[in-house]
Amino acid sequence: MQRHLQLSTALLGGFAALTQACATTHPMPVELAEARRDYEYSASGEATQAAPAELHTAKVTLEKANEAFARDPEDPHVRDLAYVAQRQAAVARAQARIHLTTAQADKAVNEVQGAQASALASTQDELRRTKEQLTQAEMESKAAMEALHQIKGSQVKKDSRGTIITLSGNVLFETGKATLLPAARATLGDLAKALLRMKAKSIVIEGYTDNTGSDKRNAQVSQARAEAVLGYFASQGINAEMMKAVGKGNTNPIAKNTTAEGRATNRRVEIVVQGEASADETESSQAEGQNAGASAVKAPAGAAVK
Amino acid sequence: MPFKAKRLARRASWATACVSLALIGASCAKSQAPHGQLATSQATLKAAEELRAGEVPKASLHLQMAKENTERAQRCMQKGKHDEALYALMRAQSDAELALILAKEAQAQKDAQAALDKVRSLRSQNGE
Repeated sequence: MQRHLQLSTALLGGFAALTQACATTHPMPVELAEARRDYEYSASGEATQAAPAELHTAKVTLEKANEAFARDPEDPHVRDLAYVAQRQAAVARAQARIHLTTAQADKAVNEVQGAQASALASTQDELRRTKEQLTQAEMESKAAMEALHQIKGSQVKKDSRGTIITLSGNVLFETGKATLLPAARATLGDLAKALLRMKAKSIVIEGYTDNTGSDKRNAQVSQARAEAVLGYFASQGINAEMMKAVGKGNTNPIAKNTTAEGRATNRRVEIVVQGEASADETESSQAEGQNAGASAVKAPAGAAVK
Repeated sequence: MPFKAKRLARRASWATACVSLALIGASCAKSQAPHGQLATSQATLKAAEELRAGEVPKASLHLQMAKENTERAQRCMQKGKHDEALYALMRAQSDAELALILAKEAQAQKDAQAALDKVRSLRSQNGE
């Protein structure tokens, strides 16, 4: 028994010595050392997460190389297996790099697409709101225009200057004076309401006379009448700073001053409205007064000219 | 498991199987030429060439190594040295696979750069 034990110990010792001797006389092939190093490098990087399958393949091959070397350090195929394991570790690293590159590009693209979608949604919202506001403004303007048409004794038209509302001087003022008649206040009051709804940016009130009397006198009266209308509008809430009164005297007649009727027509106030919401529509209309006594155009026969 | 992971897992399994079969073949196929392994290596080489591995410096190097090992394997097969041919083909296959993935990496970098350039352009349009 004791002799058997001694023999086993001797054999084990001999095997250990032989292995050590082999290691000394048969150093590890460079390829195997490099393969081990490359695998460790790959396993410590992104490949563990991004290319686990490829990394595992390299590990399996490296283990076979190690086993082959342990069995027989002089086995030439150790170098072959190490060569393959080294390439497989490089494949794992390359795959990991592809994964990272693609992920970074995808992230940037997604971010900008997200920002674009957000900007687009915001723009669409704004567009919708603007359209709603515009539609509302157009509707308001249309309603204001309809209201203008309803005003007794007024003529409404649109031209290059804007919306022109013409009122007869005989309806508004006492003969030869710039004092507003009581009945004129109702008409001007309705007109002021319509002008407020139109949200105009500028209102020019032009006073006109016929050609009787001196030019100087006509200019003075027409100016005074324009200012009277402006003053009334201001009292009805229209911003005075956006209004202007201009006396045009007997210029720009719209009828012949050779007849009483023509002279009455020329005695007028024109209200030029600019900058309201809807400017596309071109129309000319005349509102019909319900009260025959407040007729805008016809002058009573033999009436005073101013 | 996402599709890409499944594909990678299949590739890894296939590669492991190739090496294992090659080793088994080496141990008991001294009289059998490794035609299957040769076909596999040549197919991988062709795939790498189609992806223009020859135009990528590192990939080109491994492509050349794969070709040289394949030619060595064919010479060994002609001389009946099938075991040696098998291991030469293992080397060739590993180099061909590396050439292929390096060519794919170069393409991925080009694609990513193009995408990032577009991102930069869009950002400048948005005033960022």
